[in-house]
Amino acid sequence: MLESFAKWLTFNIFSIKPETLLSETVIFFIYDTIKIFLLLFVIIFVVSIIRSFIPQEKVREILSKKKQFYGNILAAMFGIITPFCTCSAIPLFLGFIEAGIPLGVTFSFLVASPMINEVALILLFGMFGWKIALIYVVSGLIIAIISGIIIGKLKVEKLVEDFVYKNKESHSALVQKTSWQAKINYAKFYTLDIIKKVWIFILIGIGIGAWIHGYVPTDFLAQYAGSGRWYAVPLATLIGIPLYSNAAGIVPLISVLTEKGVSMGTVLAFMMAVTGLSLPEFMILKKVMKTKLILIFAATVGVGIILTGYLFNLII
Amino acid sequence: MTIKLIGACCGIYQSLIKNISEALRQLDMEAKIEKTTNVEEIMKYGVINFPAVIINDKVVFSEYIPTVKEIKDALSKKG
Repeated sequence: MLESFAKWLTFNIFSIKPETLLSETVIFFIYDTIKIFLLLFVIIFVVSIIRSFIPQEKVREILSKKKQFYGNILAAMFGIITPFCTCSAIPLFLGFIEAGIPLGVTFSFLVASPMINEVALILLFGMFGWKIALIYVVSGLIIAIISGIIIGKLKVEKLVEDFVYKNKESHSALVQKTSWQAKINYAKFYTLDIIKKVWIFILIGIGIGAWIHGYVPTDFLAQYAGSGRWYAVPLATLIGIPLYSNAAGIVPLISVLTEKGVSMGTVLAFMMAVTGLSLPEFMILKKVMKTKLILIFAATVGVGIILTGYLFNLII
Repeated sequence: MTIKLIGACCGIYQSLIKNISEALRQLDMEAKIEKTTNVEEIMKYGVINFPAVIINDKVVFSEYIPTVKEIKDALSKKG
């Protein structure tokens, strides 16, 4: 139905001739834009409502009672539903440590939370379908769990700044609203805030994507970034690191790159690097931990992402 | 008066800032809105649920985006 609407708009309203490169491009743009924004509105709203049933207090309480391993798994899963923004990383980290959650478990959460976020997932689902979105979630979870376990085993507590462990008592003044009205309000605000933040990137991403879709020859990129090129995955991972804030615009762009010959594993690695390895997050984490720990964190996750990329280049 | 925000500086939560400014405007009050990322300060308030709104050194809202009316109530109580 959406597709017929996009066609109707292109042919009848914009009077573009069918079966031309231009009409292909315009249909692609209209169709993807409407689809992605519909998904964003509905899914972010629903996720925010679900989220309001799981207060941060509760997450910490549950995690502080779990041992390593199970703790890592649970922490990574909580990471999916918890909102993450770079500057919430500090209060989040402090809260976890104060609640007595092991460092490795905390890191599982810190990896999963930005990497597996609803905006990235909606876009992956909308542009690539549910299988790729699922693969992304599962690999992200595995990377988060394993990185957390490794960091836990390394016993690197001494690389966390001393003062973090000093202040053990937390005294949160809570003004909690739990009425349905408050939950719906929160979800409404949150959804609009996210969309306000990402809409321009998405439009630009879909715009350039539509242009590439229409005008760049199929398989054009295969010779540079196909699965046969060994350096494609690590290179994609490196390029992804500084692109954090533009994650929303990147999915529509890379989805057309796969049409032009970039392999799926490379695309997944790129996407994970964009969301999971973020320079601003590293900078802000420096306030609570030593550079060495940040490097260990980045290296562990980076290696995980690269291995995932190679794996899916082999099997997809 | 200073209003501090913790964990709310990432572009999302724009409505939080908008609501605060609107509340201030309606009450005809003036306040400095600060987004703090200073670790010691965050620890001082014991804020671990975010976004958090701190009015005159007191955590008033946390993990919650208050409406204009709620902010007005909080502001006039402190006022």
